[in-house]
Amino acid sequence: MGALAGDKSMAAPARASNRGEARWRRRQRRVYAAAGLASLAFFIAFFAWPVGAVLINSFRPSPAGGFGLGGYARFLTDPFYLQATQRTLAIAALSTAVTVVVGYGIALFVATRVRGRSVWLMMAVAPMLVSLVLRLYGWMILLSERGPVNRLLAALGIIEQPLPLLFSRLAVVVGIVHYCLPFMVLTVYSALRRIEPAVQEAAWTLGANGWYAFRTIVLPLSMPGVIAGTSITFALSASTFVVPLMIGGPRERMLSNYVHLAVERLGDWGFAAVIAVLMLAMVVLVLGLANGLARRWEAAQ
Amino acid sequence: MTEGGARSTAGRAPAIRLEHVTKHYGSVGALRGLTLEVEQGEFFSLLGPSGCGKTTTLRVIAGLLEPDAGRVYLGGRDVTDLPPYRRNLGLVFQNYALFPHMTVWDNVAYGLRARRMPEAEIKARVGKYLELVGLSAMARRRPRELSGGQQQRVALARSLAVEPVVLLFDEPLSNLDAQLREQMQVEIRQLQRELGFTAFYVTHDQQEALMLSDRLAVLRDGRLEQAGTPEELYDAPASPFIAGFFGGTNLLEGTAFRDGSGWRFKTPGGSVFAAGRAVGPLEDGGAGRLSVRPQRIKVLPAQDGHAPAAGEGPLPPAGSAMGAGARRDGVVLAAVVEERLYLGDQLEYRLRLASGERLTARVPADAGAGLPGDAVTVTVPAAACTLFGPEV
Repeated sequence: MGALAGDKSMAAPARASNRGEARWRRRQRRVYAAAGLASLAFFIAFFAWPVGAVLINSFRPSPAGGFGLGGYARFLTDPFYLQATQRTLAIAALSTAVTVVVGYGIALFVATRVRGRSVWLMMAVAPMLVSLVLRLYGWMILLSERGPVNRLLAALGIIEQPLPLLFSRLAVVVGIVHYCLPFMVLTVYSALRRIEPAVQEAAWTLGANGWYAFRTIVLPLSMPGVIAGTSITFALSASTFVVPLMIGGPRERMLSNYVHLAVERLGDWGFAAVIAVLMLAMVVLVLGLANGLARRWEAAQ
Repeated sequence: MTEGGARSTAGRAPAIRLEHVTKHYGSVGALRGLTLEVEQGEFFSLLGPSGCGKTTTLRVIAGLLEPDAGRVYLGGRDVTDLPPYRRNLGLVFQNYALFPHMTVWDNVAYGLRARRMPEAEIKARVGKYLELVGLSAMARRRPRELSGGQQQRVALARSLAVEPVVLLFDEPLSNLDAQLREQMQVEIRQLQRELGFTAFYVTHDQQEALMLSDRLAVLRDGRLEQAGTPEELYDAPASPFIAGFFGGTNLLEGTAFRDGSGWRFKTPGGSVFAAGRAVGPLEDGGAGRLSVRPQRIKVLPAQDGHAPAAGEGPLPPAGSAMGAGARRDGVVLAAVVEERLYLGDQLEYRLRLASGERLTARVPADAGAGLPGDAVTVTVPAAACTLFGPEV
């Protein structure tokens, strides 16, 4: 009975009405619906609700109270915050660019290993197993005035005085790249692994040398992974809080640090919400733009 | 492809020559000192059960695998140390391996662009080969918008467009359904005749290999078992393995006896067969194995004193002066039908001889005689029987 009903609905999916469905199939759909509803409830409780609360809060510029766009006006007219926005975007863009290049290289290396591929992949992803705070302490030691990097440079005779490596733009970018690299490696790696080996072999036998085959076959076919990895990396780097806090210092604060300061120092929850909402909007806008460009580029191919 | 410069300068050197090629490769697919030659313009098939090393051989020729030892020559040139992109080959894959992000046109143009051919020439070439495979109308499509057969035609055009010295095929039709496969077989054969390229065709389908090839070779455990024309391999198998590989065979264990200049074979139960051919060292009264082609056995109703059938000229009638004995050109045996399987165009009979041995016969569907349990007369011409020595 069941199989028969299944065959019918496959033969004429347009006519698959509830009436014609077998009872076991309806029951199955109800189980799925129940599971879906549970997830939806979870999503509303732990994501939509807090985000909604932040959004509503952003229209309540404190301490005066009331309801309006005052908080947004304050942010958008204050050169201090506009500069912070610019800095955040610049750091995120630079970090993303470095992560793409380095991450692609690592992913390509891992994906082309014949032996020990999973060991290499594990090594590339292993940093994620250690707390970011702990890893950043490591960078603090490495980049400090008397740290190994400065001492090595001095020993090589490249510098006389120790460089102010810590609490600089460089430190923040290094920290963010370190933080985002595993995500990029994983997405690009899986895209590379999805390319059929025979496709590249076909290119070789047709007379394409290694570089030509990479440029015309491997790179375009791995682009979906690159785009996904870039999106994740940009979203993570634009919203990072711990990295500039620990190794950026006051001059390299990013927007998330100002959210923190607004709450912690000023007790201004409304303005903190304004910054948070604008950060979200910014990331969504940039990713939307990038996605549109990627799609147009793909269509032009 | 008379304009293929590489081919004309190569003269009469074999298109492909493998010399003692060895490749260690886990437990399956290894090659153990393989030597073979493929002539210019020949359609050559490499055949064998899975894991015999046939795909390894193809990949060594293509340069996708490096042999541990031995040399590979293409058109007389030693290419063992050349990368695949400098060998001027074409390779048609089982799963097509088209470039999914390119149109059909760009797929076919790929090898020409990699060779930096002028764009005008590329246009002419791609147009020519797309037309040859009948896909000019599909030039703007993407591979995923095509059927399996169309995709394999694109792959064929893509490999032909670079006008390679040799076109390698790696089980190209095994993903297609039976009807389409037959159609593509005919098309590939026609293209090969028309364009005159050398084809090296790897398959596990013996029917396909017999039908397509000028010559074929059977590989077994990384060694060449036998090479020759389809007729040679089918009619004169060099080993019981080859005999069983093409069309199936009955393999009987027993004793070999000298009979003048020829050989006879006796089963443990006492049935005597005349062997049309003998292969390998045989001793009079020693052990031997007999291969009997099921298709050459005739099954007739058991009738006393009646000639089995018209056209069976040299065979003596059952119960004649020769009795149950055998003549040089064949034997007549009594048997009982155990099973009768209908295969459409053929009937398969599972028979038990009066001496106890089992024998399978395949006869045209309209030549059937007898149902399970019936007594029948079986005629086995000597031409159906090959006697192998114990070491073959």
